[in-house]
Amino acid sequence: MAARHGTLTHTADLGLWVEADSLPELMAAAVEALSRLMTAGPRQGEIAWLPVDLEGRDYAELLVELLNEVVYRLDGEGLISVALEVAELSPVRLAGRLGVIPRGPGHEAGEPVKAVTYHQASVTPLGAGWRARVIMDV
Amino acid sequence: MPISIDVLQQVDAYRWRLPRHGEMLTEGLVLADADLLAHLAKDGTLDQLYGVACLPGIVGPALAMPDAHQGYGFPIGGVAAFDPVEGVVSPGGVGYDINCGVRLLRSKLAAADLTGQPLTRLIDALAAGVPAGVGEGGPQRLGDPDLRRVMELGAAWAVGRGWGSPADLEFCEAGGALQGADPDAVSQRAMQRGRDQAGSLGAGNHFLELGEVVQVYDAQAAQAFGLTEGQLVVWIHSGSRGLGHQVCDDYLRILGRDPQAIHPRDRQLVATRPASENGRAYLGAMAAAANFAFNNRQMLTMRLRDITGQSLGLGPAALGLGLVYDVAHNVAKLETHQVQGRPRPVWVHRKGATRALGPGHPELPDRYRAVGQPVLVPGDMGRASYVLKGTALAEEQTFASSAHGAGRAMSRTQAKKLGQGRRLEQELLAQHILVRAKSRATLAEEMPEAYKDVATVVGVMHGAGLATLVARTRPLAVIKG
Repeated sequence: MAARHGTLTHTADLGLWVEADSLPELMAAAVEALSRLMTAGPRQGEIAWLPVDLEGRDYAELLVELLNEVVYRLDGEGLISVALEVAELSPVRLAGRLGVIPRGPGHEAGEPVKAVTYHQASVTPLGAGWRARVIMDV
Repeated sequence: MPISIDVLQQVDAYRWRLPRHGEMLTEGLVLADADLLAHLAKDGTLDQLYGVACLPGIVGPALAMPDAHQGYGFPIGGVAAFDPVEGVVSPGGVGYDINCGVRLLRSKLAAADLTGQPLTRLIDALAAGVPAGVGEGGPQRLGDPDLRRVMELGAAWAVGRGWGSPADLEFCEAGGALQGADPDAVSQRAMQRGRDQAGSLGAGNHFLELGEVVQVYDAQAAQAFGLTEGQLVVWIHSGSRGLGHQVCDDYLRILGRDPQAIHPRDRQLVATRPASENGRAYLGAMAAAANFAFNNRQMLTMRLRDITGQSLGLGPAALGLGLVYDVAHNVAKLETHQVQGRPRPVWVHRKGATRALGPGHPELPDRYRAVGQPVLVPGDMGRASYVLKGTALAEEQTFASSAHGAGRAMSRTQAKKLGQGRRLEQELLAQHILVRAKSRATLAEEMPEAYKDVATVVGVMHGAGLATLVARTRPLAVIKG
């Protein structure tokens, strides 16, 4: 199946769910979903690739770490994450590279996500694929 | 199995005990009336209060203020105190937006003199001149030396540059700077997120509101606070922007990997001993972020003063935009409280809660010492906001803490659905409230119906005798980030 995503409700904040066939696809789809949530507009332009090498105690923690990387790149450096290439993925490590483009005048700010939390974060099998959910502080 | 409100035991009209059970080390105390309890039934507030009550070294009950709702780790509106040796500090007990807080300014202007075009011109000028919205930077980018000084000095950094007066510092909680700030404990990423955000409002529930004092309940306290009916006042709600969020995120990660830390089932509740290496580092970084926030609100205040003066053609003396008070919502502070009749130092975590010192407290400015601390409780942009005063009872029962706002009644997603097809700006205009929002989505998320009625929240605080009513303001014009 093609990766899918949507939003979840949370009292004060916002949740995100993502489904994909494989864990690497799930991580990449989550990056794209969060990025689209935070910034609307074109994804064209030369992509710069930034290394990512994250550690965690399980896939859910790795996902939170990865998505906080997306938040930091946008809020701290004005870079929109547009792609993720996964080179290594285990329950305790995610290594690869994050593709980013600079935020420009054609981009419109979306949800003011300031952090992705561990609260109710999960990565679970779903049939032959995987489903993830995270709650974001906005 | 989520904890049901049915397990709560009623103490009186406004107090409910969450009895100690399971792994709880102390009981919980929920401040609410029947209406507010119904809101609690809808989310995980009580489960989170249970988690707080299980943390080691907790002193007294785990508290939920009347505006409490589900957060991460601690509930929003959660208060807990911990022993400095046996207890903990928890980034999840402070929250992401460290020292998100509110300040109230009085003026020498009558709201009635500002209706119509002058008010429209002023709010438009403020909307154009006060940086607000997602990722919006402040008036200047700070290099490392200045940013470090901001984190050390707090609001005094801005005042030292002529952006305010020493009197502004006198009327800030902790003088506008927490002690023990350690910029070296703040990551480069946090500094990078904060360096161009000083002096900016931010997004989400942050706002600048021009209001009118419409009712005074306590003439003596109102006089001490410089508030009179018909007066124009200004509320500013903002925090430590991306810098504070990154500090929280950094230390959740650091503590999450620290085998010496305390690891509850809820990862957002990870905690450590205050005196541990990582505990000291977190407290230093948290204080640094808190000081960034104090300075942020001070810089916003000067922008407000400048723009208001220009727009109305009045000098500072005629405007009289003096600070009533500035309080932090999300901090952990080492304070001394009476516990079982004896003074005891404790790390008080207030997450979405306000300090509320009673009369006579030595930390209060001379002007307020006889009446107690101003307790600032902003509501939503369509109804009202309240000024209360702290009481001796709050010092006895809640570690001198109070509610901090209305508290959300519905999720942002629900609010946006409710706002679809509606012209919220026009609806508020029909109530004589001007709104300038950076995005329509923010406007919908922050619509009045998305919040509980703040009158109910302050009614509980007043009825319980923990903070008593001084004055009510109504919104005239609001800027949302």
